[in-house]
This record gives sequence, C-alpha cells and structure tokens, in this order.
Amino acid sequence: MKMLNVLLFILLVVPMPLLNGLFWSAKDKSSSRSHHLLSALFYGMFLEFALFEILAIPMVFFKCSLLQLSVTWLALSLVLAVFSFCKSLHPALRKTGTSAADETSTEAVDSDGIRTRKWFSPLLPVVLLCILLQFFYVTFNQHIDEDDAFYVATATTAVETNTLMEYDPYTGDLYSEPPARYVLSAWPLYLAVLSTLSGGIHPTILAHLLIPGFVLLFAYCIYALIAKSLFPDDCSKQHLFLLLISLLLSFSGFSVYSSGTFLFVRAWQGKALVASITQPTLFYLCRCAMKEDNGTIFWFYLFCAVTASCMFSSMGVILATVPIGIYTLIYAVPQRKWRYFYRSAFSCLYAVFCGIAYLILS
Amino acid sequence: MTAIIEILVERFVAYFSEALRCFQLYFADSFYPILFVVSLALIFFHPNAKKERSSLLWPNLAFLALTFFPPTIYLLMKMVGILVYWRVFWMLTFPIVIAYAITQWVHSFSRQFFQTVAVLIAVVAIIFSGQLILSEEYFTERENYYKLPAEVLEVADIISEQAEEQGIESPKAAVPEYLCVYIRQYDASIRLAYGRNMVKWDVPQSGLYSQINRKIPQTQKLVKHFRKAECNYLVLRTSLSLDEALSDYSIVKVGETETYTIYFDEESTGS
Repeated sequence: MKMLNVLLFILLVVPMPLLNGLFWSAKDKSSSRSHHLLSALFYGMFLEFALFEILAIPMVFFKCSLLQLSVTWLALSLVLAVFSFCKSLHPALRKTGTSAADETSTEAVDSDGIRTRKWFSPLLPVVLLCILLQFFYVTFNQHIDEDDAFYVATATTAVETNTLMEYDPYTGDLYSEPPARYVLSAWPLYLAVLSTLSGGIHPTILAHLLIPGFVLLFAYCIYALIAKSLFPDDCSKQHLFLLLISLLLSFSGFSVYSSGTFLFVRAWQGKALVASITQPTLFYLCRCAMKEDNGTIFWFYLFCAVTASCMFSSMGVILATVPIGIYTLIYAVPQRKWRYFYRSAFSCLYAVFCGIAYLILS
Repeated sequence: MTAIIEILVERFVAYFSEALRCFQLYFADSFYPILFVVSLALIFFHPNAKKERSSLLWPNLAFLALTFFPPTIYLLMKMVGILVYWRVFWMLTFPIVIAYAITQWVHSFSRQFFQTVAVLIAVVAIIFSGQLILSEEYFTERENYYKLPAEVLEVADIISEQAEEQGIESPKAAVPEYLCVYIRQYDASIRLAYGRNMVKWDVPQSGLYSQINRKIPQTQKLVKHFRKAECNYLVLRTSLSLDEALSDYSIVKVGETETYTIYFDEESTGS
C-alpha cells in the first residue's frame, strides 16, 4: 500500500463528496457559514451512498463487473460534483448565515462584555484532542471479528473475480443463487469499489485500517451538525455537547451490543453504520425537515439517508423506516401538517422496495 | 374464550420478557439507563430544555413503547430477527438525549465556577456509569496492515506460493475452523472446502469439517472426505503429527508455520 493509494482513497471520501454536497449545503437555509463544509460533506456522502446503492443493485442482478460498477459510479459522482461546485458559485446560493451577526462578525460579546470568537470556546481543543486520540487508537490497534468472514470476504472476492456477489465469500464457489438477505445491501461492494478506485488498496486493509477512522470522523461530523441544530447561537454549548457525546460513546463498552461499541470496534461493517451513522442522521434530518421545517429539500436528503441505510445493511430497512414513522407522527399530528405523511412515505420508498424485493427473493 | 385469553397473556409475557432480556443485554450493568431516564425527566421539566421535547423526549418514549409492547415486539422480531432483537435499541438516541440534558443543566448555572464543577461532575458520572471501549478488552496491538492473525497470512502465502509452483490457478484448501474465518479475507484466490457457514448449517463438507477439527482425526476417513471435496491442500495442526500417515496417501508436507502444517495432495487435479 503506497501513499499514492492512500491519497486516492482520501480524495474519494473527502473532496469528492465535499464537492457533491456544496450545492445541497448552499440550499440548506439552516446551515451557517461556520458549518458549511461539514454539512457539504454530510450531504455529499449520503448522496454518493444513495447513488451507489441505486446503481449497484441492478448491476448485481445484471451480472455486471466490479470494474463497470466502479467506473459508472465514479463518473456519475464526478459529474454531480462538478455540477454541484458550479451551481454553488451562483450568487443566490452564497451562504447568508442564519442571522446578521453570524454573517457580519466572527466575534461576539458575552454578558460580561468579553469579546470571544464565535467558533471558539476553551472546550474546542479538548473535543478535538479526544476525537484525534480515538481516531489514532482505532486506526493503529486491531479488533478481529468473525463476521468479516462474510462481509470483508465479499469485498475481497469481488476484487479477485471482478464480479458482483456471484461467488460465495466463504468458499469461493459460484453461488447457485445470491443470498436474499445480503444481496440488496451493497456496502461490501462499496469497499470493493473504493479498493479498485484507490489503485488497488487491498479491501481488507481498506476495511480494517482506513475505514474505521473515516467512519469515526464522519460520525462526529454528524454530531457537530446536531450540536449546531440544538444550540444554534452558542458554540460553547455545542462544544460541551460534543465533548459529552465523545465521552458517552467512548464509555459504551459495557456491552458488545451498544451502538458506541459498534462504532469503535466494527466500524467497517454495514450494520455498525446503521447503528452509529444512520440513527443520528435520521434524528438530524427529521428535525430539520419537520420540527424546523427548513425546506422540502430535506425530504430528498431523507430519501438519500434511508437509501444509504439500506445499502449499509438489510437491518437498515427497518431501523430507518420505523424512526421516520415515529418522528412523522410526533411532528405532524400536533402541528396538523398532514403533508409530512406522504413526504415520509416518499423518503422511505427505497426501503419499501427493498422489503418487497427481499420477500420475493426469499 | 378463556383459553385464548390465557394463551395471549402467556405470549405477551414471553415477548415482554424477551424484550427485557435484550434490553439488559444491550445496557448490561451500566448506569446509562439511569442517566437516560434522568435526562428525559430533565428535558420534560427544565425550562430551557422543554423546547426539545418533540425531538428528544417523545420519540424516545415512543421507541421504548414500541420495543416493549408485545404486539409490536412480535412484528419487530419477525422483521429484525429474534436472535438480534437487541438491535432495535439502536433507535434510542440516548447519547444525544444525555448530552443535551447535561449541557442545558450545566449552562443553567450563571457563574463559570459552578459550570466547571457541573461539567466535572457530569464527566465523572459518565466515566463511572460506563466502561471504556478503547481498551485491551476490545483491542489488541496491530499485527499487520490487514489486522488479521499473522499466522493466517503465513499459511495463505505458503498455499499461494505452492500453487504457483505447481501451476494450480485456483487452489482449493481444507483448513481448520479457526483459519477458515480469515484466509479468504487475505487471499480470495484460495478457495475453501467450507467456510464459517459450516458452523451454522449442515453442508456437504460436514464430514471433512468434523475430521479436520477433531482432537485426533481418523486418517483414512479424513483422506476420503478430503478427496471427495476435491481439494489440493490440507492444513492441520502440527501437533497431530500426521506427516507419515498422510504421505502413505500421497499427501505430502509442503510447509509449516508455528501451529499448522500444510500438505499437498499429489493426486489432486490441480484445476
């Protein structure tokens, strides 16, 4: 594994989704300038995940090659990235912030008359240090999990044979029929595509060494957006919130079943992403779409998030639709906003399709 | 009618007990559920936190109701799976709830000193309520970039090198249970007679699996099942000392690691 390969991997998971998300972040009225890049990365990643799942599943059934999937997904992602970047430069979409103060000044005056930076609090270095320590710990230490005999081996088998779920990862024999439960979740193929596009980083190295740190940082990106949503004008509260999240997740080791354990210990597995990425994402997007009513564009983001959840794991079908149903009931009924019901139904379309497909296949 | 009601009540109790067992599995002996309940109460009563009832309090109460209400337990178990019902508790956004409640509580103090003390109390409470994941209980020192047992890589490399020397394009191996979990994560060009699925399901190679993983394999039966599976390579624990016995069947030793010996079947087709 050479540094060039690692650089290619970084380009695929940071700048490309960032560019893809610039346009969507610009359309997000609630997103401020200080969190513009974070929200761009957030929207861009989920857009790419959703695109990947929608491309991969038909290609699995049409027995396309891994190379075809890789090239198609990369080409579409790059086209969308260029489009997003160009559109985001439009003057009408320049960030205006949520308040005049947010836009015109990078400093605030607190109740004691002390000037402070709007994005800085004494807790920020502590939070960043905690996150960095966690990042290096999960990257440079190992946790071996037997479930990888299927999930990671699916990626290595795809790379070895240049096929998509045609061979049994356990034995290397040709499938008589693809496994109904797993064939609709393309996460292992995403690892295989990243391996291919990064110039040949071994899928197992990618899964075990590079992905955990990336998933961890992405999770904190989502929590930072949640913090901003919960405490819009108070960065000290946001940073305290993030510090507490960091501690709560770090000390979730009381059980191998907790979402915190899955985030740190099995981050490269799709079900870990359902536990640690999907749930806070749904909380954030449902809050923006329904509680704050920040625009219909959030229903599109929800659709991407649900589709991505189905991509991570078959479990994502249920664990994405049930929370959306609960949030819809809680937000729609008191406010009598009945349109939230059919918009929620739209956002869960892909999950419904997966559910029906699974019943037919099994 | 009474009998039907009795059956229903019995099933309700069974489902509820199972949900409770999964809840206890999920949170184990931590105090996070207590922190969670206190945080929910604070969100309900605290003047600054009340506005987040609709996003934090009611949804989590609804999730709890769903996951403990027997009819919905039945549905969720059907969809998620009985053995992994504990995964439904992933829907609880307890880290967000607890972090939000504590943040609002800390900032309800006007003086910086009391805020600092409150933060310290909260940090200590979290540390003593849970258990650190980033520890030797969950992690070990990395042995290689693949984060796989080093010996697996050695065994796979020996098989690959031998296969290349003998012109076998797609080698097939029969390996002990411990190795079959990892080999194809490292080298997917090596086919296996059985994989981890052998542990769960009855598949054609169960006889071979049984012999390889026995304390003392019966050589004749082992060779019979091995050849029936059309494998090229056989990997056994070195402690079994079967070199001579297997060589009588033209299955010769071609390599060795600390724990395992790799054999090649000279009568295999090599395809």
